Amino acid sequence: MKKTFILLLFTISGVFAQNRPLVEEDFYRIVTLPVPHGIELEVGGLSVLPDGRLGVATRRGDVWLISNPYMKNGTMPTYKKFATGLHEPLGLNYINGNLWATQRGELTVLKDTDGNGVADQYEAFYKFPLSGNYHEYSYGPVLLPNKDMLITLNLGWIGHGASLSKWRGWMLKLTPDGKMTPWATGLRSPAGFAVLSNGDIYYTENQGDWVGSGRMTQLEEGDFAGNPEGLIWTSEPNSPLKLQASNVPDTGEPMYDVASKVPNLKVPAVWFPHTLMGISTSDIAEDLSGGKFGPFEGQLFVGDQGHSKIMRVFLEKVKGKSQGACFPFREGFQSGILRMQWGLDKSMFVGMTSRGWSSTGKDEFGLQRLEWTGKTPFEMKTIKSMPDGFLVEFTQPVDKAVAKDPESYKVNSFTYKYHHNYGSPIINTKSLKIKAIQVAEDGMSVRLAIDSLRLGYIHELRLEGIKNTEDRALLHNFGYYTLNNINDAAPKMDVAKYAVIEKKPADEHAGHSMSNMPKTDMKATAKRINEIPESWGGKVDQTITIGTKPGLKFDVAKLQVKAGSKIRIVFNNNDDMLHNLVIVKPGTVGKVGEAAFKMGLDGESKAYVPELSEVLFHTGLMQPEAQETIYFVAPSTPGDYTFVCTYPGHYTVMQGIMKVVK
Amino acid sequence: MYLRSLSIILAFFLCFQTFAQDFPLNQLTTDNWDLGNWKLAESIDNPYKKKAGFTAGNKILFSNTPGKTTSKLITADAKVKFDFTLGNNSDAIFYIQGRHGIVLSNTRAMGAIIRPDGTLQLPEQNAGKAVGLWQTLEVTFSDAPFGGALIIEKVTLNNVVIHQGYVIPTKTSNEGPLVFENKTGSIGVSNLQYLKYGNEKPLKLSDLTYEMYETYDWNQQFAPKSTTPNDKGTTTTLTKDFGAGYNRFLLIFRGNLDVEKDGSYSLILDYAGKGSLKIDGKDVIPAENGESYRKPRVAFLELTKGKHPIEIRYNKVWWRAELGLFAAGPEIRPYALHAGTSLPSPQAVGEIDIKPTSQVEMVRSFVMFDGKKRTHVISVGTPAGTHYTYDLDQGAPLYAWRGDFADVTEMFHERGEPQLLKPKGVKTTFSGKPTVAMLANANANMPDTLDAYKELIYKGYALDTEGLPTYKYQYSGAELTQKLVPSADGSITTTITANGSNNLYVKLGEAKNITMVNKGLYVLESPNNDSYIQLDPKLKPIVRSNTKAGQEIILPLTGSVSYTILW
Repeated sequence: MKKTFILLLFTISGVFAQNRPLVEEDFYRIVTLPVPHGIELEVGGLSVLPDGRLGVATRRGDVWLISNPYMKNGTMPTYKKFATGLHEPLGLNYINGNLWATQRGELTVLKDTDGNGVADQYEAFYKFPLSGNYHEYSYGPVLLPNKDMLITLNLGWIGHGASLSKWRGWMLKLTPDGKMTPWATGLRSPAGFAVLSNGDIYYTENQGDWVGSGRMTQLEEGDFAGNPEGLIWTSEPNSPLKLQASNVPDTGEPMYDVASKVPNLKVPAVWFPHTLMGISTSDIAEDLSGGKFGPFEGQLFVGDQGHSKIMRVFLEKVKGKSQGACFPFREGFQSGILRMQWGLDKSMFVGMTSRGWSSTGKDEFGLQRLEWTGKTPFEMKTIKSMPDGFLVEFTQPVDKAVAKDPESYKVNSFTYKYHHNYGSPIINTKSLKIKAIQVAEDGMSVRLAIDSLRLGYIHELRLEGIKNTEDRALLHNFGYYTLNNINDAAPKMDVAKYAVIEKKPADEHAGHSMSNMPKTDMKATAKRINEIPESWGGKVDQTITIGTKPGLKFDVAKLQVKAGSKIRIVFNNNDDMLHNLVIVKPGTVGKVGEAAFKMGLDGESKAYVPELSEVLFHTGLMQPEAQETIYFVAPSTPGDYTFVCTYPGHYTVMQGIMKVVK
Repeated sequence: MYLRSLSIILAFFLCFQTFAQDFPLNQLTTDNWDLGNWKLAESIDNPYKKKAGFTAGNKILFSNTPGKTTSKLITADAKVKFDFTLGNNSDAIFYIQGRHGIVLSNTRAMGAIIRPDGTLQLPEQNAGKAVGLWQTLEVTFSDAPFGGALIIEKVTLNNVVIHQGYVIPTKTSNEGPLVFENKTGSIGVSNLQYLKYGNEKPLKLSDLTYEMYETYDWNQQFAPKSTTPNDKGTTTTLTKDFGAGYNRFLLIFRGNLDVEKDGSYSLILDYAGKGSLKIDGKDVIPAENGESYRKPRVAFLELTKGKHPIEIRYNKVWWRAELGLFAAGPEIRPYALHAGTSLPSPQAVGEIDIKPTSQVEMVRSFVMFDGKKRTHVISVGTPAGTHYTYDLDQGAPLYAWRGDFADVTEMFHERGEPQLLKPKGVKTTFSGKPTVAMLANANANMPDTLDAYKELIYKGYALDTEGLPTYKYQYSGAELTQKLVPSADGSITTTITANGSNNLYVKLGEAKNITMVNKGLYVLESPNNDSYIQLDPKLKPIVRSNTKAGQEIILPLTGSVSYTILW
């Protein structure tokens, strides 16, 4: 309701009075499948059947077959329970006429031998050990072109990721007769993986220990993708690599630099900068629709559970290795996206769950379908590496005048620490200078010559000024290119001919925030006092301990303090995600939360605490299992103040009330 | 107001009962009873035996004619627990405070509370066991602090909670003896135990000092960073708050435990992290290897009047700091020695359960068995009301039960961190060891486990038209199947088939004592876990003694074997 209102205001006051601004929904439409009451459709696996039905495996252990999931011409879908009692299956596939589901401890073939529409044979195709840890999730199977299958096994969680039973943290390959070969390790939370049409295998990884940010990595046999816990099994005779965890340095150097010293360590093809893109990557879907899903044929779509959104990835091979760029694509799904599968009509089924891991989409679970409306959005179609910079291709011709203006662009580069800690701050940020701009004759692409490209770094391209020939801005004006190799085989650009005119430093504001990046550790401020103030004489009126609970919650929903009293709050982040605690003025949590969300690259270093007068007190950004104590004098005005985690994606749910009374 | 104070009181009692469950109870021996027309027995024959009778002795209160027996013990606020066994068509009543009855019967609602008007407050489910098996009833009750009522706080029958917080308004003083009344048939009662609660607090802490050390991250999480404490001092309260501001720390309290009078006591340490307790320099609750979350640990102590040096150590790890120490005694409900804020009471979660109303329900999950998590387990619930849990790795049933099916809160609440399914009804516990094994001869030992990846290969299951699974295995060149069919009469019939191998044996069951009652009917007796095995009287199972469990009953497997378990 509020969104509509803002949109409406914007439309009326907008510059383009003749046309409202176009939004994602104009190009890609979300259709929600109704779920009958009583069915907890917490989607763990999705599989499209050739007869038009859709198979859905749920975290509650059921497999549903949904007839008429496309709901054409106003018709309704029907649900039939095909199988039940599986142990949290997080993968479903339709292979050789049967549904295959991966349970926590077993890959199971579900057969309906009497043809009554309900499975009556549950064949254990491949069973594997478990320690009994809840975080031992299992995913797949993904079918390879040669009919082998892949499954992946999540690490357990004991305050950090751990491989507590054999092959946890691995991708395994299974032949059709059940023979298992360990394929690759270094995996932490490999919920999304796929084999592409060219045969390459990719998986997505979630930010966590040894994982500075979400990423997508190609896995070839014997690869080590970064989290050392799975290396505990490399001494097994069938391990394809011999690397030991003790060979992996825990120095916090960028992963690209460590990879030059550690055999088998594979750098990601694409990083998804944390919160700037999403917060928890999930499934991968390759667009092989032949244009039926829009202008991104051959590109990949990657889901995000916590942000309830889908991102877009362009991959290219440079010097034989894959790398590429990610872009925002479509947000606003109803729950946390875990699964994406192409329908027979080349629309995309999106399966969701948010139990235990909250998402910006508020529903506990859901099933939606994303279809292209037939209109082409104005987007950066690709970013490609060039010997001297990047080539940006567009879906529509650009306005050449603005495209030639260097003010239309901002380019930054940065990376993350590679270490045992959970996540990483953004490090080594640099604002990059554009040396030359060459706009293609047809306006469909722009060559940018850029100073100081850095290998292994994420290059942020922001094209805020770019317009198309109809004077419209890009639907999404930024992308992140992971530059592992520079394509120096491509023709060089005539930098002298297309050189941009240097501006006087006084005019320069393009790099204002980037060139003076604050330290990653936030210092104590008036709003964040970590020592008991001397004036208090060692006396605190009230000590409050606040912890966190899984599922984006504080363990205290409401607390009461006396106006003007001296308060000590001990904040324990006992979750497995990053959190802060911010106390804001009554009724301002929405404003503060949104401002934090928009802090972008700056956010992490400022603990996602926006500089607003509405923010009264706050902690730093806390690692999992970290603790911080803050001291403050409670406000003198009674009222319901909100304490909130402003980490992007958290503020709408992770809130509590601090009641100030006389 | 009345309701509000009542709910607070109940919450208080329920919370403490969870800590109190391991406290040893006092024996109420048979000489504490005015027998009336009841008799004293050494043992009672199983009622299925021809000419069942009893052997005189001093262990069991026994009655086979209508009449009452009354305790000399008078209680108002107590926990009472006893074992009992019923004959065919038997109906008896157990009275607390001499007048409030609980039905012990196999002819009417077992476990029902008799209201003052004579009507019955039915139990939450029927948790009674089969005729002739020993059963256990535990009742905790108190004189309501708000007056004019008796609160039956909790009634547990055969480990199933069947009543909680039932209030009976009263007009007279709420104390009286325990009474058993035999109405018809026969009943035996043994092992009667009680705790009679008072309000004293004879233990307290004094002269406390504390030391707090910051400790390392998870890679060496219990080790202090320095040999000198970050903080130390004296204190009057035991609280985790001295570590506030530190992510991980070690907190050591030293002082005295002041004991008012000689006696038996218990100290209960409850914490999130790692904790230990020393009294008089002895490790009465030693430190465990790793950390644990809120699993109260108890030390039972004989203490003399006076001061006893005490040392409490607590490591905070990655959970929020939570530390509590309770004192209790034979007649003292546990009370806190710590500051109230040091140990928050956990937020209770509404139950998620599965009810097989119209069809068979299956659930794969983790299940706790004998203190360990089994990871490849299926539970099968039937609309008939009889259910079982089966370990697919070992081809072994774990539990069978009647009544409500399964509590799956720990699987589906939030992340479902324990991933445990819990049986809800009156259950029998199996050995959890492989049902089928290849033995060199009939005297060789049955294995405790088989390698689930090299020896016993699980192949899946097929469902019949009712939805009941038949499990399939490959084992030593044989194809095995095992099917368990629960029935509405509360029994489970297991059928095992094998082809392609020799020297296979089926373990029908194991127990402390296995006795043949009649041909084809065996009673398996273990503490709190009696059951019957029934099979074709023509079959000749072998009962073997001197196994780890006591005795086991096995049968050679050729073709197929079928047997029924009742409990």
